[in-house]
Amino acid sequence: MRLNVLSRTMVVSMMFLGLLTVTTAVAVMVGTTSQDIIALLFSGAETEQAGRTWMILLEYRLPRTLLAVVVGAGLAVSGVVFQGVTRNPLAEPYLMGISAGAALGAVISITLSGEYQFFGTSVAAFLGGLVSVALVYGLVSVRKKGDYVNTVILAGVIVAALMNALMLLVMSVSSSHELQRILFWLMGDFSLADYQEVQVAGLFVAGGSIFIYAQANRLNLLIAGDETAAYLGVHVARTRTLLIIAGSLVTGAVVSVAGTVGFVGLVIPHVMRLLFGPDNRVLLPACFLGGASFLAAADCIARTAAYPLELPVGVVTALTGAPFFLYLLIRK
Amino acid sequence: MWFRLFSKPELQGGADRFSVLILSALVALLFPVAEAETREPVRVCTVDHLSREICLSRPAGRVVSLAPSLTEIVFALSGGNLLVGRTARCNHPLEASHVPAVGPYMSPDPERIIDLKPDLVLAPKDGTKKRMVTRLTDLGIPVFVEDCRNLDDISDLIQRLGRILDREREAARTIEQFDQQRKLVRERIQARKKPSVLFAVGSSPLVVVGGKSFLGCLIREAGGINVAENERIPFPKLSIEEVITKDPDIILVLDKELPKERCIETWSRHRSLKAVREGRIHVMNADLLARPSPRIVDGLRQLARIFHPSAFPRDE
Repeated sequence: MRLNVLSRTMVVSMMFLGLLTVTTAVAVMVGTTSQDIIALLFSGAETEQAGRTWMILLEYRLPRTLLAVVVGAGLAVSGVVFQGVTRNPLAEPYLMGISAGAALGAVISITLSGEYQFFGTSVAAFLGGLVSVALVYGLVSVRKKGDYVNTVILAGVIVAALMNALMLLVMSVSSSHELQRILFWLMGDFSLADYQEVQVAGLFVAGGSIFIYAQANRLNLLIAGDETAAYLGVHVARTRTLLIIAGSLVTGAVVSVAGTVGFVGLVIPHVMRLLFGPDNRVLLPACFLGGASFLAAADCIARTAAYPLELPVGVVTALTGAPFFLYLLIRK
Repeated sequence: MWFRLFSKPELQGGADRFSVLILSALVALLFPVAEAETREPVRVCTVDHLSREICLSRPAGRVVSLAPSLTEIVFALSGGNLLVGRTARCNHPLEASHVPAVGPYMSPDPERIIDLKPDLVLAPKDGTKKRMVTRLTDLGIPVFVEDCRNLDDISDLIQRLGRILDREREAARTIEQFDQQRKLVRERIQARKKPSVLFAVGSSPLVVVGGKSFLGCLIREAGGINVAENERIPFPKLSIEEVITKDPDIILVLDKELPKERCIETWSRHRSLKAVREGRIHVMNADLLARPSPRIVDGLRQLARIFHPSAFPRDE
């Protein structure tokens, strides 16, 4: 029996919402210090031990897991957008050089001010990401002729290369302590998340995702081809610009609080497409919730699996996601 | 905070009041017992190296140290029993290994720190992410941030820590010994010809100690002339060509990257260097020299002896 789009969206959303709830609950319960949480929840005792456990749950594990949820959702959704707009399966949220720009901003903040002056690393990273997108977009709009998609991809690659070179230049004068901090930033780090970051990133991700979801059908038409879309009444250039801006803002906000977490934005959209088909009206909610669950789970594994060490979350996402993706690719 | 830039002012007040309400409810929920405890009101205050005032309602009794140097200072002040957490790299003194570790240096596990319920966290500025400092402070755990640039800063740090750990007598004694040792070295090397020194901390690429770093300061104090004294960054890179041009009397190598034999081996290829021909290449222990702790005077004496062998005739 073939369900219509709305029912399919509902079924998929419910399924992943359940998965997300379970993942988040497990992630909050599991940690590096052993706490008898179940006993604590039901005893209702107000001991010092209980207070400390609550503090670890509410002030450390929960904001951290929520940030992973927000980042995973944002990256997966903007992955769908960039893959759709450029009609390129290799596109990912960092296509417009956002990660390189953000990394440059972060490196400048860490090296030149030791993180302690100006606004801090997050703001510097956000601004760096915006500069990159503005540069790429500027290049694309200046070059009126030629294939839009190829221009975006080329401009993105070139701007990213430029930003990378500048970053390496700054890094060459950094001391070993600074280099180590830069490395932590580049690998993605949720360990010190607070609710403020969750709020800020959450606002961007929620707003951006709602906007993108509202354009889901137009994105479907864009993927069918510029001409087809235009015949069917889509303002091709305007829709594309708006989608790219929305995707960039989401990615920029997410990268500025969590660093460059790889893999999620590239592979979650593909996995969901293999599972539920290419219709963006189903794909976007599936990616939003699926990306969130995946990154929350990956972060939980990252902080507990190699105790007493903490693994970089990007390593966990790639190590667990890549085999699963390959399996799907072969089976379908 | 920066995200406020994006929110409308009229919303902001409401949101703030709401979060204050939640927060006070949370605090009331979390710390009812702590409030009920009777305490002697012996407030201690000090200022950390970021010029932030750190006040405790009583001298610190549960301390987490996030740097080997800070662990060493706490032990030097006979405060080892106050230490409840340290990094995996804190290996001196031996007793430090009995203290539970909270993870690697530079990226300790916040969860374990919170779980230890410290009333003071000691953190190095260079080796701690700023977010760690703000995060712990937000959670009501005071963080003392250390940023030693030279030997005077160490005495100063010992004094400040002595106050907040209630070990002021021990601090005074440690500082006195510290200054005494420094003076001794200074007297020994007085009016002697200073050798030129190159101190390598990384081999490929060749990264050396510049005048602006802590180690650069140590070279000055031990009576050597650093060939990279006037470099603008603390740890500049040098080409082997520049090294040959400067032809230092003495080459020091930090044992952080390569085993001892390899260090010497790498350098002995450059026979044109005076230091190589005269066998004045020395491998230095990173744990001793790169940690701003009271033990640094041992490192200072070691350097001074290498720079001025005739000033230290016997093996003392």
